[in-house]
Formats: sequence, C-alpha cells, structure tokens
Amino acid sequence: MPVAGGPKLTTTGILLEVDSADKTSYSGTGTTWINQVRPGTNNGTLNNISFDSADAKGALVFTGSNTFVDFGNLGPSLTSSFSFQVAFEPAATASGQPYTILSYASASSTSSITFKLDYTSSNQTVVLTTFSNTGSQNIVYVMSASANSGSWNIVHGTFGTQLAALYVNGLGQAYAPTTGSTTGYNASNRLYAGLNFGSTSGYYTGSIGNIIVNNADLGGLDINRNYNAIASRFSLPARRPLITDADAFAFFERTGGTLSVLEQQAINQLVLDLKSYGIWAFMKAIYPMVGASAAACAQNLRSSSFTGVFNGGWTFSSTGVTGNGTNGFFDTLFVISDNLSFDSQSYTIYKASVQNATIAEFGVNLGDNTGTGLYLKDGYGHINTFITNQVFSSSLIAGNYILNRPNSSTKKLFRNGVLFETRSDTALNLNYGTRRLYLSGRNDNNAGAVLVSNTQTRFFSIGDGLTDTQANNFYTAIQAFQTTLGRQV
Amino acid sequence: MIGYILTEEQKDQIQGQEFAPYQRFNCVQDFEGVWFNFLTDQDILTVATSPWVWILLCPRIEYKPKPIPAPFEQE
Repeated sequence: MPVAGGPKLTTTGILLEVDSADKTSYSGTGTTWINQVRPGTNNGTLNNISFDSADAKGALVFTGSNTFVDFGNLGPSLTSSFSFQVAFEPAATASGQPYTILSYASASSTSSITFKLDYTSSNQTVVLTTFSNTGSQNIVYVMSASANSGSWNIVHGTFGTQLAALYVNGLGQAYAPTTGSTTGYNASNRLYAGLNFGSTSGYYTGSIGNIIVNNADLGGLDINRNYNAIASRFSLPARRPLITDADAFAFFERTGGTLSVLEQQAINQLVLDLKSYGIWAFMKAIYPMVGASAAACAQNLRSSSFTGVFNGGWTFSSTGVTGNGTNGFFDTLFVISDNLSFDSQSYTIYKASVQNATIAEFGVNLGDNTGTGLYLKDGYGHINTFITNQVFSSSLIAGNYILNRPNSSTKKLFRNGVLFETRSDTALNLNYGTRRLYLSGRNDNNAGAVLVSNTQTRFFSIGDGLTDTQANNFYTAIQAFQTTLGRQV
Repeated sequence: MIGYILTEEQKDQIQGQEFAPYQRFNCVQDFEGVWFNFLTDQDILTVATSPWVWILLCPRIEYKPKPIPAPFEQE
C-alpha cells in the first residue's frame, strides 16, 4: 500500500499487487489475499497464517509450521522478463534454513520463468535464484545480498534480456548478465509466498506485508519509485530518486552528499556500466573527481579504502581537479606492492589537457634516483611507464589513457579506447616498497612529489590487469560518464 | 609562480598539516633552499578563516625551483 502523498507505484506490466495493510486487499480475517490489480485472478490463499494489525500497519505472520500463500499460475503473459517486490520481516532465529520467502516455480521442472527468493537468518542473507532456458539448457543465475533479521526489508528482483538484478531496500546489490533468451511459459508454475511450490520443507518464519509481480524488467528508477512508495510504512529510509546502486549511494554518502543532480546520475550510471562490463571487480580505486571540493574528489568510488589526500595547491571545479604545478599532488595512499600483483595491473587517467614539459601525470619510483618506476609522463615525445628501458613512442595528448599490464610479458597502452601500442616486457619485479602512488606527480620517497603537473585530471583509477575488451569497454563507460557531465574530451 | 616565503620554523609548523578536509600543506624549497608555500584562490579562502591565517601575511615573491632531477633513463 503506497504511503499517502508519496510516489505512486509503477504500473508497467503489473500482474499482481497484494498488501496486508490495505483493507481492499486483506480484510484482517479469512484466507483470501485479494490481488488489487486483477481482483479474482491470482488472489492468494492463506494457509495457517495469522494477521498482526499492529506490525507495519498490518502484516501476515508465517510461523514456519506449514504456513504459506498460494497465488496460483500468473498466466501466459509472463514469458521473458519479470520483476517482483516483497516486503518481509524475517524472524531473528528460525529452523529449517534457508527458507523460501517468495517463489514462482513448478513442482517438477525449471524450464520456464522460475525464480526463488530464499533467506538464511544465521548469516542474514537473501539469495535470488532465477533460471533462463536457452532452448538447449537451463542457465541458473544466483545473486545474494545482506538483509536484516528482526526488521523489515523490501527486496526487488528483476530479470530481463540483458541483466538480472537483486535490490535490497531500494538499492541494487547484485547483478548478473543474462543470455537474452526467452524463458518461456510453464502452466505448472505457481507463485508461493513462504514456501517453494512442491517443497515439503523450507517454510518461512517471519512476516510479509506486500508483494508485487510485473511481467516486465523494471529498471533501477522504477524500483526506486516502488520502494519509496512504501518504505516509510516499514520504517525504512527514503532513497534519493537518482541513485539506484548501493555502491553509488555509498560513494554519495562519503562525499558528504554534495554531488549535483547531474553528478549523481553520472556516478550511478558509471557504476552500473562498470558492473555490467565486468570491470568493477577488477578495480581497487576509482577517483571520478566530482563534487568540486577536496572532500568529494578525494573519495574512492570503489570502496571506503584509499581515500586520498590533496597536498599543496589545488583548484577544484565541476570539470575536475587541477594542481598548481609547483607543490600540488594527490596522495592516493595506495601501496602497489600491498594491493596488486606485479603481473596484473592497470592505471587509467582522463586528462583535460597536457603540458609539454617533463612532468609525471601519476607515478611512483623505486627511490634510487634512476628514474626506474611507474609513471605516465609528458614531454620528450613519448610516454614512459612501468619499467625502465620500456618506452611507448606515442606523444601525450588530452583524453583517456589506460596503461595495462595484463600478464607477465606484456604491457599495453590504450588511448581513447584504441590499443595504441603493445610492448613485450621482461618480467622484472619492481618493488616500490611502501611508496604510495601519487597523482599529478611522482613519489620518490613518500615525501613531496617531483615532476608535478599543472593540468586538469577528470578521472583516475587503479586496478588489476584488463583484457583488451575490458579496456575498450572501460573507455566507453568513462567517456559516457564525462559526456553526461559535459566535460568529455 | 608567486609563493609565500616561510622560515624554517614556520615550515615545521605547517608542513603536512591538514588545513581543510583532505587537504594538507606542502612546503617546497626553491633553488637556494628557501621554503615556500603556495595556495590557490580556493585555498586562500579556506586558510583565511583558519588558525593558519598568518601564512597570508608572509612575504610573497617569485619562486625559482630547483633543477628538475633526471626523470627517466630513457630520454
């Protein structure tokens, strides 16, 4: 039941909506839970379930002892994509774990649209399992996330031709690329709450207040809208309408909530793109340089680790960060030898401009004053990086650079999405010791930087080595991000 | 570039100190070993309302850097 005055539910492909706090859906007595979208069709039949009028303005209570709701088959329109929403409060302790909160399955097969949402109280984890039929085989997608016992959660699952997703309390927590094949219709499937159809164990223990099913792959903004429509009733926080991913939201919080509407949209999409491309997990630190302040630009999008520090003179603007070329450098606090394998590294930087001088856009040195180390530099008409005696012949221009070491014998330079140069590499194991990686300068001794830059940086990241396809997709995602912000090169 | 001249004691007082969230002073020496501090226009606004406001009263002169160290073997 949407909260009065709050956002309305999206009606795209809606097949079922039941709410135990809405008298038109459940009167408070009896065994019928009326589907408000199509009354009489897919009404739920309650089995051994009681009603608590005081909990979240009205909740159905499942004791775990032969308690479940049967909604029947959802009909032939549900064939290729779906979304569901369920509001539930798991008991803090329960036997027979994991137990099923919501499922759509047949008793004998998984050859069509099938999904199952399970919960385990012992580790407070919700698990969404879905199936796709490619015509020759079933593919199983499993996604999990944390959800609290003893308090209400609103979980959404979505499944489409490209992506399956699991949201907890309005924020995307896990994603799985799908094959794009239809999942088909199975007249034997039944929607159950509190049990998996055909099972004799795994009864849910806790409460359920609301269930919605759509025959559409709802996007993050629709999920956000549906969540906000009922969140306050379950004492859950409202979500910002522009941020749908949990990691994007955490980053937004770390910036102090200072990002503009455009920056929120750009960050959210960047995170979704990096996860969709399978790049996110390869990253250790991502500095998107948004928020026009040191406090915002120092934040790592990937996690709360490696929050950097700006040293010396810097200018922060909506277009990026600019050192003064004299004493300004950014200390990422990232020690390469502690966090990356020598044979698998990538560094990405997006420059608004470059300067024709001997400077380092980022770097760390061995500290032996030989110049041996890792850096991207301007000047002398070439780029020097990774290992001494290994110099890329290209000159530096504005744009995006990915310095990639995918294996022990190769290093590659990508410029604006194009593999610009490949060099074979002798497997020298450079040990940078405890020296941290600096941006807009090179770290020779963990003190001040040398070769400091005075040009603007709009993105910087550190991660594991990437495939050529990943590197190309990484550029695509970054360029889309910069374009959204109107600061693309 | 114009910078603020600092004495050795003044440098010791501020070097590495956080003057705003995620921002630290970084003093550097010129070619004669004189200590300088540089502040952008944004930094000046911050420092002006901080305990470090005295920096803004220090003399300002042109900074002449030390020779750039040999940066790379491959040049």
